[in-house]
Order: sequence, then C-alpha cells, then structure tokens
Amino acid sequence: MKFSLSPSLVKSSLASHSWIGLLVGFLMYLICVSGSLVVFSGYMKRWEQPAVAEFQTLAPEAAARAYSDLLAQKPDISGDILSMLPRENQPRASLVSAGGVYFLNEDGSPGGSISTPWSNSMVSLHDALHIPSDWGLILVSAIGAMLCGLIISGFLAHPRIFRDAFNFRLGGSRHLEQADIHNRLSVWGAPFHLVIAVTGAWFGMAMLMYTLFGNTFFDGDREAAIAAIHGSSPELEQQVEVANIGRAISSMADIAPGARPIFINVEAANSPQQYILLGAYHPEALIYAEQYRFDQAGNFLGKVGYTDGEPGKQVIFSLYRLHFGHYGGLPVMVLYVIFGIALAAVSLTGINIWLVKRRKRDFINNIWAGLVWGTPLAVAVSALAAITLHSGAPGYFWLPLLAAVLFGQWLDDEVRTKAWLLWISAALLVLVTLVHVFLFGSAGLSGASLVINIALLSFAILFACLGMRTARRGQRVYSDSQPVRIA
Amino acid sequence: MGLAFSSLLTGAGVLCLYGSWRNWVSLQRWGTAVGWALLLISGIAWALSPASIELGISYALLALTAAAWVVVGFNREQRPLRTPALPAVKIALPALPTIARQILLLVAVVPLAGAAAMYTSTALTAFLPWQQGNALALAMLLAPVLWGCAAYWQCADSRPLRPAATLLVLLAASAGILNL
Repeated sequence: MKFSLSPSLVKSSLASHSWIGLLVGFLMYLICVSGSLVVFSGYMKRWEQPAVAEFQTLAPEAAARAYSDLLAQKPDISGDILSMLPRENQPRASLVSAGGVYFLNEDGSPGGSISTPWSNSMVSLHDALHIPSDWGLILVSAIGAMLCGLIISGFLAHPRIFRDAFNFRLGGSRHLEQADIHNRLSVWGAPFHLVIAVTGAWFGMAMLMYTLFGNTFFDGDREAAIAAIHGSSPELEQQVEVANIGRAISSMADIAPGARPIFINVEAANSPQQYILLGAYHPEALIYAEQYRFDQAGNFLGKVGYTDGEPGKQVIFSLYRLHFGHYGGLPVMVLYVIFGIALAAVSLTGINIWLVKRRKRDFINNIWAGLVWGTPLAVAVSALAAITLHSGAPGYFWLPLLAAVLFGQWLDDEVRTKAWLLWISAALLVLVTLVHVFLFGSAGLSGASLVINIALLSFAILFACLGMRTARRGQRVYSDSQPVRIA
Repeated sequence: MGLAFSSLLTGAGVLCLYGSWRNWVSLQRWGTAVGWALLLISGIAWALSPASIELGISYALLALTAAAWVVVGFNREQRPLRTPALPAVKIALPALPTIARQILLLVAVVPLAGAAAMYTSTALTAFLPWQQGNALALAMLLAPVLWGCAAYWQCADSRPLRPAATLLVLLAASAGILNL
C-alpha cells in the first residue's frame, strides 16, 4: 500500500511527538500502571477486607431495615444516604451517609467499617496522581488530551507505518528494539489508546466545561448545565416520612426485569424534597447504570433515560465503563489490564528511544531507571502498608519511589538498577502475599483474595525472571566493553 | 456462536493483512484489500452479535488490537544483543533563553491550547441544530481531541508564534461568540 508523508511533516511531527512525550511520559506511565490495577479495584477492595460477608443480592426488606436502623440511630440525618448493593465483582453491601460508612450483613444489620486504603490510594494515583483538590483531576485530564496529541503526532511521524506493520525485532540495536516495541504496541493499540485518552480526559475536563456551559448558557448556573445532560431532579414537596426503599427495590422486577439494582440513594433525606434514586445495571448497555426515581413512598416517578434517552446522555454515562473495562466480564477486564500495561510500555519505550538517541548517559538515565522500575516496588510497599498499618498515605508510594531513584543514582548503572529493583519488587510481592495470608488465614485463600494473591505471585515470578534476564543481558554487554566515562 | 464467528473474522482479516505484508503468494495481490474488508465485516458482525451495538463496537476494537499483537508477537525476531557502551557525561544545564522558550511552549501547549480547545468545541457545537444536552456532550468529547491537535501543532510548527497566535484568536473569537 502506498502511503507517503512529506519529510518535513515527518520531521516536525517527530519533534512534536518527542516534546509532548517527554512532557508527560513518566506521569502517563504512572497513570497507566495504576489504571491497570484500578480495573480490578473491586477485587482489590475485597482482598483488603476478605472477611466481610458476601452475598449476591440484598433482600428489599434487609435494605429497608438498614435504612430504618440508621434513621432510628440518627433521626436528624440529612444529605444523601447511599446503599451500595451487591454487584458484579463486589458481592457485598454497604451504607454510606453522614452517619458513617459501613458494610451491611445479609439481613441488613450493620457489619464492619469500610477500610480500603490501598485501593483508594491506587484510585487516587490514577485519577489525580495523589494531588489534592481538583488540580490532580485536571492534570490527569490534560495528560489524556496530550495522549490524543501523541497519537496524532505518532501517526504523522511514522512514514513506514505499513511497511513496518508487523516488524518486531528484539535484541540487536537498542534503538531499533525499543522503536519496534513502541511502534507495534502503539499503532495496533491506537483505537484503544484513543478511547482511553478521550474518556480519561473527560473526568477532569467535565468539571471545567460544566462551569463554562453554566456561565455561557445557563446564567452562571453550573447545576443547570449538569442537569441539561444528566437530567434534573424531580421537584417534590411531601410530608416527610421514612423513605420506602424496600418497595422501590421490589418494584424493579416489574419496571425493568432484566436490570440489576446496584445502588439505592435517598437524595435530600429527611426533607420534603427527598426522593429515592435507584441505579440499575443493564448488561446489554455500556452505561454505568440507568437511574430509576421514586418518591418517598416508593411510587415510581420515571427514569432518567440513560438507556433510551438522548444520545448525548447515553454516551456521557457510558464513559466510566468504557474507560475502566467494566463491561463484558472478566475477559474484558483482563484485556484492559494487558492493554493498560502495554500503554505503560509505550510510555516507557518512548522515553527509552529518546535516551538512546542522545548517544550518551548521565543522571537522567539513572533517574529514569529508578522511576520506572521503582514503580512496581512502590505499589508493593503501598499494599504492604495498607494491610499492616491500615494506611493509604501517598507517602507509602512516593517515598519508596524516591528511594528507588536514589538507589539508581547510587548504582549509576541502569541495567543493574533495573535488575535489582525487579528482584526487590518480586520479593516484596511475595512478602505481601505471605503477610496477607498470615493476617487473614483461609479468607485470604478464597474468592477475590485468592485471585489477587495468585496475581501478586505471578507478577513476582515475572519480575524475578525479568530481573534475571536483565542481569544476563547486562553481563553480556559488560563483557563486550566497559562504559566510557567522560568528565 | 456470534462472538466466535466475529473473532474468527477479525483473526482472518489480520492474517490476510499479515500474509500480504509477508508477500505470501496467495495473498500478494488481494491480501490487503481482503484483510481490510474482513475487518470491516467483522466490525459489523461484532456490532450485531452481542447485546448491543455499543458493546459490539467496543469488542471489535479490542479484538483487532489483540489479534494484531498476537500476530506481531508470532513474527518476532530475536537478534543477538548489540549495545555499545555509551559515554557517561556530566549534564549541562540548558541556557536561560532555551529554558524560557520551553516554558513559553509549555504555557501554549497546556493552558492556552486547553482553554482554546474547550471554548472552540463549545462554540462549534452551539451552532449544531441538536438538542442542547447532545451538543454539550459532543463538546466535552471533542475538547480533548482538539486540545491534542493544538498541542501537536504548537510543538510541530517551526514558528511557534503562529499556532500560539491562532489559538489566542480562536479562544477570543469563541469566547466572544459564546458571550455575545
């Protein structure tokens, strides 16, 4: 197939690709690694608290009991009262309100408190790079937009895109090897990368754009702008009674027999405007959930229309599942993890290509090796801190990463740094698994915990093998020639 | 059954492209065209086979990438390692004007291009004869793509003032249109 780009366009596109890639390369690597983990956040949460009661459905009477028990304890409670119902990948129920956050037993009685510091820390790393307030979200969104720029510049900088379509040359020149990995993963993965970029950018940009829409079209009313897409709240004025959430859940069998209720929220609880909002998963659609609304007596008012309403509404409410791979069950989740790690590898090899092209080495090589291969180590330390100290403080991720960078600078040899950090990560992952099984006993060896523990051990084996391979490759290089040092 | 058939079509399409790329005699002439045609048909088959079109399209994109990577992995060549030792040098800090130029480029690529993308996408979609919610949703999805395009142009142009000025004009014009 003939396909030619002008040399000047290729050159300028390559320059643009390099500049944007260097700007966001490492942060994108972090976002991709943490994003690959977050695909399994439901499993991770269960791994952190394996002893919590699990069941497939919460009976309407049990949900009603949980709600009325809360009201009996805190009669003046206000705001939203959210019951998360058992759902795919998370067969456990919980209650979230100003009165506390706790699991529910199958009969609706309060279970233990919710504490998932590692999952929360990884989600926060992925969503906002642990940066507080909205700035982190906006930064991550900007990186999503930059990924769009990288995809465009990448294609325009690649004049041999069809000639090289299946070339995958490992070994040989490091430049060629890294370029082949980078290009093959990115070209064939481009549809997935574009979807991830646009959907990922949306999460933070939406905050800014709703404000823009509010100021422009709705006289400064941001909530009205949100309502234009997501639908507005029903306007009710009722004599306050205990919301009949049991009736609302029961009636779903008639309203939407194929849908699975996954959450139920009493909005503006204990006020004359209170209403019940029930979110139901529709397996045939990409939307996160259709929202069914009921008045406080449990009378059905209508649905918001994410399943069959305006296309814009459906698309916006599909972005979450599309971004995190929460559709199509376990096979799609596994593919998302593989594709996410592949995108991390694209970020990594992109910077590697730039480093090789410099034809020299300095402390940037050391820092880069420490950052890249210190990330799995930092993830393992954060997991260990979560299960032993019950803390998800960002320091448990960033301090080990800093230590890995210093270690890399101290070794002053990226090959040995990579090998050592991989071995330490492998050892830490084995330690995390052992500590988990020691702390939780048989609960750590069943269900989601078993899946995560097997995954941790698999990654430990992978890292150990990669470390040995790296060390062997390093020995071959050093037997050929010793590094030349120029002051 | 539907999913298996769609997967088979995707695999066959990628294999045809691979065969044509490898110059297999039977696929030399029509391999590329047949490959793309099969991928197109597989896309339709994916869209029709599961519960909904949107799920089908998502599966089709995942299947294409997965199939292509399998073939790429199959085609890998392992060569003897050739890594010449690189000279170690002390890092030299860039000159102040270079740093200043890079900071200005950063300002143009991130806040300027971002603001221009958000305002322009909103202004563009405001003219669409669509229901307002749909237009706003499109604006939100268009904005990151426009931002990426603007960032690309800003970094690719040999005269960085040209895209920067264009983005400023676009931002001002869009803000003007939206607030008039």
